[in-house]
Amino acid sequence: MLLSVESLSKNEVLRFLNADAGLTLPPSMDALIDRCIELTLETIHPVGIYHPFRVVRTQYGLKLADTPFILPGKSIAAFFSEVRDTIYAMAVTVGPAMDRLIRTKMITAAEEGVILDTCGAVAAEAAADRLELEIRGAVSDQGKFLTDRYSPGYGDLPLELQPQLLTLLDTSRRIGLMVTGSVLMTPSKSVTAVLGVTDAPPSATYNRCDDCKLRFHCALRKAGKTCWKTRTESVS
Amino acid sequence: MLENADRIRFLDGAAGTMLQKKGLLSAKVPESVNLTRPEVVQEIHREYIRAGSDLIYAMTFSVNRYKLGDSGYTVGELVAAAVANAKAARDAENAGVKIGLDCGPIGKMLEPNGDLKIGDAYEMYREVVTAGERAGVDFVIFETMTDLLELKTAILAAKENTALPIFATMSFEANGRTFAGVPVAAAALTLDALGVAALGINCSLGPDQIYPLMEEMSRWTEKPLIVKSNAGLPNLITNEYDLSAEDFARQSARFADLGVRYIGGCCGTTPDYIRALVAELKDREIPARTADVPAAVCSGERVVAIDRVRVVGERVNPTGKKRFKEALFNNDMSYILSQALEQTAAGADILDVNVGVPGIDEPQVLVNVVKEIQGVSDVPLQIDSSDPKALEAALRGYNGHPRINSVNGEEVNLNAILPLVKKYGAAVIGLTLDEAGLPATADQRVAVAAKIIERAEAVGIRRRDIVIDCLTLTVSAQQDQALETLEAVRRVKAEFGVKTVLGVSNISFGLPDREKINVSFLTMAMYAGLDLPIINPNNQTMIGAVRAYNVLSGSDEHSAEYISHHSGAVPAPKTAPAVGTAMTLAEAIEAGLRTAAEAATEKALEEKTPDEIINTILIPTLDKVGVRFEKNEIFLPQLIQSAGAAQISFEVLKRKLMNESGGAAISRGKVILATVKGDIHDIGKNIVKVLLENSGYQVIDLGKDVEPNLIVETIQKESVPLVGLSALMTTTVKSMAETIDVIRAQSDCKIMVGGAVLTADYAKRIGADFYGKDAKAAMDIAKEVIG
Repeated sequence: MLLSVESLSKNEVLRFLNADAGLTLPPSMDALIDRCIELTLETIHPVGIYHPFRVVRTQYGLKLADTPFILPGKSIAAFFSEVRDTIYAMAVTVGPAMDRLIRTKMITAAEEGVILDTCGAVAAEAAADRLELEIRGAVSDQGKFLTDRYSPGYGDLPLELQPQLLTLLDTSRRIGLMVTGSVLMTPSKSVTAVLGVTDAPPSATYNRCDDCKLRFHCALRKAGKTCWKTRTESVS
Repeated sequence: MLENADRIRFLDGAAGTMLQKKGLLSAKVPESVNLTRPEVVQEIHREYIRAGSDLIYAMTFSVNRYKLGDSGYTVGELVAAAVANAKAARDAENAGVKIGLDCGPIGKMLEPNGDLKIGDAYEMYREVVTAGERAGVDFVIFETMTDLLELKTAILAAKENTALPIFATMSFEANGRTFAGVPVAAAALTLDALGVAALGINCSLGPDQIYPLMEEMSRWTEKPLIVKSNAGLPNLITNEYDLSAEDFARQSARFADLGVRYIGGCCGTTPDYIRALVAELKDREIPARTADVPAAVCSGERVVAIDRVRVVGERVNPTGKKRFKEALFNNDMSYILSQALEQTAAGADILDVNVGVPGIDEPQVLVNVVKEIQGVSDVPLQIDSSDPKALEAALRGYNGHPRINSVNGEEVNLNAILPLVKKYGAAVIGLTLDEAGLPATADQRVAVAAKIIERAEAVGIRRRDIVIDCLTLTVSAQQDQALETLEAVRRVKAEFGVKTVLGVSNISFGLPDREKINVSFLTMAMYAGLDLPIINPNNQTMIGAVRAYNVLSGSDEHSAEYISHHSGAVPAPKTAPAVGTAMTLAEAIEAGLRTAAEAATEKALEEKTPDEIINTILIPTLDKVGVRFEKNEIFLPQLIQSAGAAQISFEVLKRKLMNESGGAAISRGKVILATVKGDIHDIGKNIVKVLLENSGYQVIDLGKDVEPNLIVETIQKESVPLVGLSALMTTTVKSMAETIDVIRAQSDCKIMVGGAVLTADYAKRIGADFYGKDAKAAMDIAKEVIG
């Protein structure tokens, strides 16, 4: 489905660029970031897809019923501990035009290329937020609740699941999202995730940093920031 | 066989939907059902035949080597089983239906967005289509395609290895583009020119949403059209579609009014839908379809119709340009691409691409340059070479409907070039010269044009794809020729109805103040009927003359294009206005102002040598900016802006040195950069490249997904002291370690590594000499290793 992303948070873009809160940008740079955000919104074509699956717990991990797909590992088991029997898988992409714009600007004006690269990532997250909202609506209509998003590569959930997850959602045909031999998603500004359905509001909040391999080296973290949005930020 | 129908031919409906209904869609390889449950597959085909399908697709949609992976199934066995099932169904129903080999996309994205190489895609399609022909299908259908270059590659594989008629359909979104950005018109132009038997649209949308897209497609091709719509739109939770069989049939019936010949159903449709469709349309005759297709060229994303004077940019061409030649020999793609992008920003509608320099591997370089330009620009290209091998290589990898520059009237040349134009679906420029040499009169030019047009049409090239060049000669040498050329343009257009092209600036060679002659000749030529002036679009007077002409001739309706470019509402300049003349070079670089840096460098050259400027201004200022970045006083885009300003300064110094010393380049030393094998995320590497280049190092950029051996070869060939490797993902850091091992085994070149998931510890563990935590660190390392 086509997703509507009508604005991007400039703070988010600056945070991804690791711009210090105390940093005062020259007006020309400030205007450049605004222009890049505008250009991003003109360029992206955000589309997404989701589907619910029934899950059963097996010794190998959470198995999606009627599919060969298994979510292995401790991290996802803990994250989905309150999930009874249903999860949603989702995928979004902002499309290949954004990748090309970034490539082009890296040649003609590299500083714009770098800013646009960040804008693309922020746009993909915004598209994922938009689709998540859609799923939340469907789930809450049934009187149920939904966990946060959890993606391959978090915790011990292997990134190598990506191809299977994309096949499961038929993303190549449905939204034009594919994966390379090294499991990089193409177009690159894309997000995949699973979310669990719970009977009560999920009590476990998830701090992605706890699971991140970079947590001891991350410059953002040292500065008291994250590269992802906490639940309260998403809602606001 | 398939084309002489005078009534609508019905296709079948969905296979996946039927398998799903029978609970058979959960297998890892859905097509394995051909082997495991042949009776079910045959029954599905039979239901469609009974419903009235004239053509059925064998269940081979995702059978290709990539999708089968390590499943244990082979392409050959699944294709053979699927076709056998279709034939068994046909025979059991005693029907005369035709059987198609169904091929979907490979499922991986082609370079440069993905890691699939064209050659590999070709091989995968070759394997499937030859298996299909062996199994005895009547035609091949490539469907649900979204990437036009992948589809073209598939078509070439079928054309070159089988005799099967080719059907091709693509899937579009409601905005009229595929996910890869292909507009309907570009699909129609390209597929038609490639010689498919029929083309059209399938999947993604319901009939009502596809209708306007099909209407658009019917304007761009005279070939038979195909449509297979979905049963409306899907519910993402239930996977069910929202149109009933009756609604689907009623909506689909409208396609008959457009003259669409092949109609069936895609996702969500069943035999009931086809039965309803047949009931609605079976007695309907197809109206004879005509289309007045305009002369046009296209890329995979953009169609340029020659419905007014269109500017062809001439700057991607080494003739007389030292810097461009140097870039070709050094494989300095950034420079070449910047020449292309500068022209499109200035208003070029089409770019001429020529890389002919003695001593270069022209086929290889032309393929690369075409591919790289198409990776960053949507402008259609005019591929310019006198070497048929280079032309063919570039045509194979071109995404869209290009133009070839050129063929001439010589027998040998006609025989070498025209078949390539036809086979690869290109348009072509015909130069009006032949064995007799340069013609001296308009009459002679018209005669050669007539010969070229006749010969081109004889091999099946349409007249709208032929453009004639009546040859601009130098007016200072042959003053009478200018009017002969213009008269020939007028007559060629009037007598043959073809479009015309001229290289304009040649007219003024040898005269002072050339622009005045060029503009006047251009204006005269346009009035005589010139459609495609090949010019330098960066020259505002020339491009202004073209835009003005389009207003005066009435082709720029309501002067819309002219007003948009000349109303003063020009886009904001990239950097602050050049208060710069008063700025010192150091200040300009710190502020990241390119224009100011250029002016300040020129000024500094009045007092200092290039070496002094580099050592006392450029390098210390870049160091200072680097320190500010480390202290978080500025952030990455600002550091890059400063580096960009320094680059302009380096370019000015380089030009000066080239003029004085005949080509000695400025370089602090060489550095190889590469994103490791398996990794295609190269933005980090590119940032490092910008900074290193702009600090005066010669960067040999090997690109992304780079074979370790290529790095070693380059180290040895170029005697490089430092190589920088990048890897973005945990999955590709492994490949970085392997790359380091290969380099270590064969050279003592220093290695620095960087990338989002790397750490200093890990860098050490995999054997790197240096860990570059960011681009500034990479600059420091280069300074330490090289100086």
